[in-house]
Order: sequence, then C-alpha cells, then structure tokens
Amino acid sequence: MKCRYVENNLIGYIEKTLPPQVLTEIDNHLENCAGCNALVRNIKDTYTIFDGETIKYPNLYGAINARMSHKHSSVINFIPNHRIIYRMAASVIVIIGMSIGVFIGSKYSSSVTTSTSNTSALTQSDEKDYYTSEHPMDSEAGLAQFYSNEN
Amino acid sequence: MTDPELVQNLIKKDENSYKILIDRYQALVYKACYNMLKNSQDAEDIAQEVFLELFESIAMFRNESKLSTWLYRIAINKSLNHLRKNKWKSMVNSIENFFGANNKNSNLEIEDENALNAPGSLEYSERALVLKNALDQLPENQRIAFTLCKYDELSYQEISEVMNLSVSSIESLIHRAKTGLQKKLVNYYKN
Repeated sequence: MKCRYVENNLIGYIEKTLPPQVLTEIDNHLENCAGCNALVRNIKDTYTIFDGETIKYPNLYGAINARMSHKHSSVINFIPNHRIIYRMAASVIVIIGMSIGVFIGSKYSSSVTTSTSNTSALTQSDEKDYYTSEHPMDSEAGLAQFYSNEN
Repeated sequence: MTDPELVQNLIKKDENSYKILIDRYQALVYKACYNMLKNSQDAEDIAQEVFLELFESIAMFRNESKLSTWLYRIAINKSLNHLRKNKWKSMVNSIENFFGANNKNSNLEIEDENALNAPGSLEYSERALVLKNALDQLPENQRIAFTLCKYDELSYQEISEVMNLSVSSIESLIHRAKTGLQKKLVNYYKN
C-alpha cells in the first residue's frame, strides 16, 4: 500500500467508514510508516477537535423578552414599512441634489456665455477702432513732420 | 402542548407561548448557530435574532414542515449572513492594514483564536483554528450540510428538509465536504 492511498482515505479511516479489510491494510501500513502515522494522528486530533465539545447554553428568554419590549417601544416601529420610507427619502435627497446641481450648472454656464459674448463684442469694437483710426504717418502733414524731425 | 398548538397560540400573541417555544428550542437554535459561527457571543446574538424573526413571521408558517426544520433554516441563514458581514469587515480591515491606516493587530486569525471556546491549551486553539479555517474555505452548501451532519447530528433526511434538497444531493455534498477538508488538512500538515 502506498502513502498516497492512506492520504486519500484519511477521513474514512478516522470515521471507520471504510470496509474492514481496507481499515486493516491501513493499520498495517501505519505500523511501518512513521510519516503516515504522524499525519494520521495530527489530522485525527484536528478533525475531531469539536466532537466532544461541551456547549454552555445561555438562557435566551430574558434577552429576547428585553429586545422585544425595546422593539415595541421604539418609535421606528410605529412607522409602517420603514425600509420603504428610508428608500424613498434617499431617492428624494438624490433628486434634490441632482436638481441643485443642474440649477447651479445652468446658471454658471449662462454667466460664462454672457461673459464670452461681452469679450467678443469688445474685441470686435477694438478691431474696428484699429482699422478705422488713422496712423500719424498716414497723412502728408504727419510725414512732413517726421522728416523734419529726422533732419 | 404540541408544536401546531404552540404555533396557533403564537399567532394569537399568547405571551406564555413565547416562553414555552424558547424553552423548548433554545438549545437547538443556539447549538446550530454556535456550530456555524464557533463563537459563543455571536451565537447568542444570532439565536436571539432567530426567535425574533420567528415571532415576526409566525403567521406565515403553514405547518407543512416541522417547526424545528424552520428554526434550523432561519438559524443557518442568519449565521451565514453574519459570517458574510464579518468577511466584508475583515476585508476592509485588511485593506486598511495594507495602507497602514490601522496599526492594530486586527487580523482574522487572531480574532478567531480569541473567539474560540478553547479549553485552555495552545495546541487545542491552534487545531481548532486550523479546522475552522478549513471549514470556512468549503463552498457554503457543503459547509452547511457537513455542519448539520457532524455537529448538529441531523440525519440526511432531516438535512435534506432543512436545505430543501434531495437526500442524494445531501450525501454528495457531505462526501465532497469531507474530501475537501481532507485535502486541506493533508496540505496543511504536510507543508
């Protein structure tokens, strides 16, 4: 028998649910294999650790009674289907938040548009001034003054 | 008082029936919760919640199954929800630890070690922790079937009623749970 076979049938061996012949074969293998022997002991001790566990049972009546009376006195219980109300309140808050966002957004974008249109108006008038205003050198008098200054 | 009579009285909100029901089933419910959670404080809280839920929904009980089966179902569901919440909390804690936000030693293993009702020895605590971790790694269905069979000592028929599955499915789940546990324990002790 190989060690692998023992490893694959460990729980069956521990619970003694394998056929008697297989149990005897594993017993024989364990007598001659220290590695498998240690492994079986370790796993048996761990697998059965909760088996004989003594559970201390608490008396639940007092605590449940207290929780029930607290539940009945709680304000939230007078509101029918409070979960639905919470969800509705949350939805209303989200909608209000979105509306405020849209309002602020639209206001901001309109002020930006106004300021942009003002800027473009200024630019246009400036451009007009620039092209319509006369440069001193453009007139004959201006040129004459320029040359006289040069000389 | 038989269980169906008890249910009828509970529907009528007879206070004495609450006490009778708790006295009759508190050990069963607490044991089921404890075997799933392996923590006495959590098991006590969840067991209380199981009874509170039963009282709230008793009108929906149609006596088609046994009252104990229904209690097992509630206990298992509540315990699993509690474990899921704890898993989420421990995940958040581990993320916080990773980023150094929380320097306390609050990892799951230490919490679990303190939580176990160990009869004292360090070896017992270590073995209990190894088994609990191996059980935690099993798929949920396998874990429930295995726990109900091994620790609550229910028959395959009773487990099939609690889990709403056929007896052959339960057999298969328990077999796979044992094989999975065996593999995990062998890996642990061989490495």
